Amino acid sequence: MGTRRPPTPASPALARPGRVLTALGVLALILALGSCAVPPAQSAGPGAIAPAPGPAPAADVDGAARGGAADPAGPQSGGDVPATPPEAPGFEVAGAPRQVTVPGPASPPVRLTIAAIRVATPLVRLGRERDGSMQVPADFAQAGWFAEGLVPGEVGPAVIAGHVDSKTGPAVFFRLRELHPGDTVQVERADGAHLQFVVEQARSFPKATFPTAEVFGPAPWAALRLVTCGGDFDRARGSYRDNLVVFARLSRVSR
Amino acid sequence: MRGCLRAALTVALAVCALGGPRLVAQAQAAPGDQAMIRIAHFSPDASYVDVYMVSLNRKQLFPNVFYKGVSAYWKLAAGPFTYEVRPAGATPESAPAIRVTGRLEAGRAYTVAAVGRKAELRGVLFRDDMSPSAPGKAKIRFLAAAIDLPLVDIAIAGGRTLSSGVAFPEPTGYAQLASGTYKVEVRRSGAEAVLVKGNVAVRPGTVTSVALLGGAGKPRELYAFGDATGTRVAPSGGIRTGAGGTAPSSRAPAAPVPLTAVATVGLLAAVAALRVATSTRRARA
Repeated sequence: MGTRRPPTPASPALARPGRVLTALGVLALILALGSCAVPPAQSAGPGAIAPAPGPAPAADVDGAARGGAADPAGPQSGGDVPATPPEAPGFEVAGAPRQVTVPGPASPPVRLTIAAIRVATPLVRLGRERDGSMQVPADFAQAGWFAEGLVPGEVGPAVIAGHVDSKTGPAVFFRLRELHPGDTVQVERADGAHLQFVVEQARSFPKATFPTAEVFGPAPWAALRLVTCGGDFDRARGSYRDNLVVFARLSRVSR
Repeated sequence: MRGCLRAALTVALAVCALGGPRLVAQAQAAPGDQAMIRIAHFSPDASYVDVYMVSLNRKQLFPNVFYKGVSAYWKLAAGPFTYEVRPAGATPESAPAIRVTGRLEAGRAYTVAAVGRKAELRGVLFRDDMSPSAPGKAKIRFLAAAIDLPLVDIAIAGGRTLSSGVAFPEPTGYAQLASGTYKVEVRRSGAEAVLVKGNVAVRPGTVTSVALLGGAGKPRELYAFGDATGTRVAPSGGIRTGAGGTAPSSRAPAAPVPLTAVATVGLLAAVAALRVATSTRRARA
């Protein structure tokens, strides 16, 4: 990742040292003020406990409940507890974060749209190669979904991979590295469901120590992982050394 | 202009100093420093309770949690936390029926549950294991939360024993099972007598908890709920998603220096240049 940054126009402020100083000062000011902004739910005095916040306060870092609809915080009928099938981890407790999933049978994802980085691609189905590694799309302009894994919208990690580049230039996930926590990702399924995921984090891993458990392992909510390449390009092997993984979580479903 | 800026910065720093602890709390809520937790209510006769969770970055109240209520997981800052349970509607200042304090480790998952008879309510913090199951298998564990049961063995009817000598309110370890529906029997430890039985269905890649519940007038039962779902059979190794067309052709340049470092170096250079200029002028004079 380190050696190839997306082209960004050089800031004109950088041309003049005086402006740089001013800009730095302003930046420091913004950072200083920003970091002590008090999220609404934390404004309760010491010892006081905020009443059921519904989903987590919007300013909270975790994004656990960000984008989720508000929970009714009222009492629930105690005698009317449905048996919870294992595939639906936990059910709602008033005030607790809401579990967003797509009800009904699973349906394959057909299209991926990421407005923030101008990605709009059909999704091909991917399986595994003979050596056990994940297949990658044959078309550099298209992303693919790991169809032997989980479907976007059901509990667990759905995995979508796309190339960062072809032999000649940028490919579908060239700008994946520009995604930040809070950015949204849209997935459309064959059943017409539109799913919105919110980016929680983006991390790079050496392929040699790829964290299979973290990317493909158990997740307690409907999750999405977007994978591409990064790091140095090893010309001898014809392969990038790292994988960039964007971790996102389902936040909204519409039809 | 510069004076103005300095004043503003001073004010900003002072404001931050006042909010110091909060700053620390926010810093510790970075994604890498978070734990996952959920709450569960397994006390058969304490019908409704208010659950309070206080962690580094949050104070939360879950009102009217009912018997067999299990929440979804949420993330919260790793570090110290307090779990308190009060009868539903009790004032937050009243003495809690349960108070558990502990530390949450970053990257781990927990279930904190109220168990036992209403008169002797207690809180238990279970560690949940979200690591993947063996390829094609499911993971399952039991939480012995039924009151008035002796030591028990948990076994598959006509099959293997999953856990033996389990006491209230202990969790068992995780067992790996092939996909399917299992008749699970809870027996008096070391004996044949079946105390509770039930069917539990598991799918490959899933992690399931089954609470052994009941007592104090509530029926004894096996109560299954999902913890998490992983990929049935995950691919191995990294993913080959690049052909190198945008990689630099010559030797890679040095890693980019952070902006602040650039600014600092620039500043030092400017100061040095100024000094040189001044001393030169002096020398001339």
